Amino acid sequence: MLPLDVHIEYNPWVMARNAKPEGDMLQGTLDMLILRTLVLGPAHGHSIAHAIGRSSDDILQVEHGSLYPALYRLEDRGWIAASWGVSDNNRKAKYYRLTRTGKRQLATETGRWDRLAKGISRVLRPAD
Amino acid sequence: MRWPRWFRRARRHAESGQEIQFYLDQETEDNVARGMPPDEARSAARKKLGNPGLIQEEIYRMHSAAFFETIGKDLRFALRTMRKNPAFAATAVLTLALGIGANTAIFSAIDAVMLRTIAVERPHELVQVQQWLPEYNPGWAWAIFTYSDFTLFRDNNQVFADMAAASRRIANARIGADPEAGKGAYVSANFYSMLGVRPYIGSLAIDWSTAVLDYRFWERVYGGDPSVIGRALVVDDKSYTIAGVAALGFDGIDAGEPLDFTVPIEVSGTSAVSHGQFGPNSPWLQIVARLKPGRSISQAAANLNVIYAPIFADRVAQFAAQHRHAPIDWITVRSAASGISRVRDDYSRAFLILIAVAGAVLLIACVNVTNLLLARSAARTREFGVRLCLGAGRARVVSQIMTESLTLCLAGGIAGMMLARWIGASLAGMLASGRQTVELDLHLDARVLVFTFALTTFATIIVGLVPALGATRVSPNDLTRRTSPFQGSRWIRIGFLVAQVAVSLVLVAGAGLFLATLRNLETLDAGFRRDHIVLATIQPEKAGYDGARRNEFYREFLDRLRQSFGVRSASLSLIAPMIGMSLAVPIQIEGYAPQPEEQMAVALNEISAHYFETTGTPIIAGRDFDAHDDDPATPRVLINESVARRFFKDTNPLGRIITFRANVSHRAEIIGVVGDAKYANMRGHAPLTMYANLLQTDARMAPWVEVYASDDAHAAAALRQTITAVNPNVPLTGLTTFNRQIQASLVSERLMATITAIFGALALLMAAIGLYGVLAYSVTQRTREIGIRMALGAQRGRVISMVMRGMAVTLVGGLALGTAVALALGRFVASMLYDVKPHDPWTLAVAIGLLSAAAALAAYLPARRASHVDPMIALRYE
Repeated sequence: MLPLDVHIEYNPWVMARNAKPEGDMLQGTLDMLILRTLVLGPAHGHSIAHAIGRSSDDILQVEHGSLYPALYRLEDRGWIAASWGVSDNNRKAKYYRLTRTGKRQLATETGRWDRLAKGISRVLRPAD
Repeated sequence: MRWPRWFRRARRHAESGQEIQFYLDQETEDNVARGMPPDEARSAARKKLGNPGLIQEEIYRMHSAAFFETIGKDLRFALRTMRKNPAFAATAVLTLALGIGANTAIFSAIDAVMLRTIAVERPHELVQVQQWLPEYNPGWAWAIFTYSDFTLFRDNNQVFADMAAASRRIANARIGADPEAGKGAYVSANFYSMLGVRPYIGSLAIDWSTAVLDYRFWERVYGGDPSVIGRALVVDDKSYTIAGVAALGFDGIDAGEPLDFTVPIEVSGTSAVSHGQFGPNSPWLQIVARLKPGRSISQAAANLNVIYAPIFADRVAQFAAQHRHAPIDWITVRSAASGISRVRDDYSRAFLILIAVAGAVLLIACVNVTNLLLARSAARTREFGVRLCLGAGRARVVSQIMTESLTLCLAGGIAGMMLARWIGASLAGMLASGRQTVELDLHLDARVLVFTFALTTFATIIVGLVPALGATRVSPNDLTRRTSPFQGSRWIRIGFLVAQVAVSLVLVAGAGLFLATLRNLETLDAGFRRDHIVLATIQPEKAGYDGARRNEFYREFLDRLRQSFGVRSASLSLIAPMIGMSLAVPIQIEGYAPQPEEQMAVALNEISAHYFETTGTPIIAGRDFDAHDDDPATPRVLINESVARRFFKDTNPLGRIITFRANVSHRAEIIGVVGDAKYANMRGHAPLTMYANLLQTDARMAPWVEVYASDDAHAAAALRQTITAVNPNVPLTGLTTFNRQIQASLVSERLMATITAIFGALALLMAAIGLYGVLAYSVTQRTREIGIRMALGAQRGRVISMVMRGMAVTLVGGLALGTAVALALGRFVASMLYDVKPHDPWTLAVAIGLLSAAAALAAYLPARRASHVDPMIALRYE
């Protein structure tokens, strides 16, 4: 089982604490997933949300709402860039694409994740 | 947070709204495409997204400075809360204002006297030169030099860029009929150029006949008229031409004693100086110098000591013989960046104690307001709990409570500033009643503002943080319970009460000590009578009397005076008691071999016959001066009992010979012994005092005339009439009374007693209010419990004693702590007390009694209310 913020129950304490997104380990994970999705090309929020769900075979139930603050944060960091465009069905939509620093960030994050996952699976299944 | 983002936050808020809308539209469309009915499709989309408001808020907060955004809201909320409970707000603000105001006022006095630099160029280079005269004034630096000393230093030193001399404010300007319209100083020609003071108008280049005016004096007396340049100013009967007005802000170099004008020391361009009584070898000048760049104060002192060594050679030899070691430095140098204030020396200790006391008052004020807030925040626990449940972060609630305390404290700070001006004015008024009229410039400068701001911040933290942290430590579950969940604060409040009682006890006991000191000094037997003695100085030299003619004038004047209506006795003296001057001379006694290191010096006064009759000091042995003693060839003296005891022990001092040097050497016969009397100060023992005959010596200063009459008014009238009758041209100035001089000599003591008494009373009041508030609150909280007790048969008396017992424990704890602290702090004030020990048990007992009485009263009111609880109403209460 992966340690992700998949499931948020409405609880005043959790909400209050969630108001401070910095320093959360899980936050970094969501960021990574967004960056990974954007490797395939520019996309808007709606399609990113669905893409994350789809590509993980719906194991990762990202609450779609929590995606938007993450997108803004990534944009502020300069990892993704946004521009307004027109969606497939002619609606005005905000498209995000990966920047060069974003690509670099994804590479380092992926490398780190791989090492972490390898390490954890070694602990959990030492027999392999 | 980056600022560009902050400015774009509104646009981004709109963007995020559009984006979320796009998501909902798209998702709905997809759902419809999958075959859902439109309504269901939309609600499914919403479910999938979550709460759009929260999402947008999170994004918004990312781009905003939450602090600035929320503070406005919190401020409005705080003001609304204050309006809703004006009694609480007024109490809190007033309490804080008193605390902050007291501190600000005393700090501004400290600032004016001790911290602020004088308005000259590069003040930190300025130093004052002092000399050390152990035989005159043990342990006391003496700042007065002769003109020869000044020129010696000025012409031979290697450490000063420039050096100037100035007298104290001894010059009097005659304007119209008022011979004392302004007080100024004699200064050396380079005074203004050395200090780097610029003219406001005219020129500050002093030559031997020019006067320079102080800006404020110019405004006050001449109405700021620029045509004053070139006009004449009569100072001590000599006419000077006004050359210029010094720049606004420069008030001379004595902080607290502003100059009205200056006139030159040097007369007729020669360096030989004589101003009335001052010759080149009379000490009357203060020396101020500017260090050369890179020179230090210690280098300067070393250099001056080398220069001064030959002059002190005989003294050095004498010292070495007596003390068997080489003397320490005779000349000391100290920074004059803040001026060369006597006020600083006189009052700095008093001010430091007062600011500590004011600090304690502020602390009590803060604790009081904290307690009020704690009680209130306990009552508001539900409100805070609901806020927390609705998703407010704890920090958010804390910041809201802090904003409320900040609002209170800011209001208190502003009111305190206004109070400070008022307190400061009365403080300055009290100081101005002293022997030297001290004028404090209490304008609010940056340092005072910063100090007040720091106090306000400090108060906010004390007042706000404890209730804020306590009140927010509430779990939402507590809301379901009816009782106050905020039990932790009870102990904090009790702790605060104990501290408050303790600090109040210390302040009240301290006030008691200072009041006792003042009373002791005001009522002690000084060795002379106080009532109905009027004093004035007369200067027959100014009307042309000199030498023998002067003595004739004195005799005629005194004879006539004694015959005036109501006058019982009249006499002259060089120095009047308590005017703040003293004269001391080294002596030798024939037939007395001094011990090694024994100090052979006595205080000297020069008097006329009948002086002791006038002052009421008894003549114990021998006789007073009489008309036959005026011949300078046969000098005679009287001594006081202390001198007799010290130097003559059991032998008869009458007829023995004392040699001393005052201007010229005298070899005088002792003709009488008089009772001990205080001399320059009410404190301390009466000094060893010797009285010489004023008519036998050259008077170096204008003498005082003392008149003892049936009534002050009679005495003053007799003085004026007699001078008019004998010679109206003889100036009669400085009319005052013995009593007024004594009062003036006790300004520092009165200041301490008055202010500590006011602060003590304040502390007492605040402690009582604090106790009352907390107890009243707890009675309200326990209404139900008390109702049940009474329903079960508890008597009223029992309820009262139950409530008061709770208070008694707090009180006893506080009193014990306060007693310990008071005893520990006693030694810091010991030197300021007189005839009362810092551990005086009576003072402490009275203070404890006062506090207990106040506490009992504060506890009784809520207790009585508790005993009137109607069980039926109490039980229905919830």
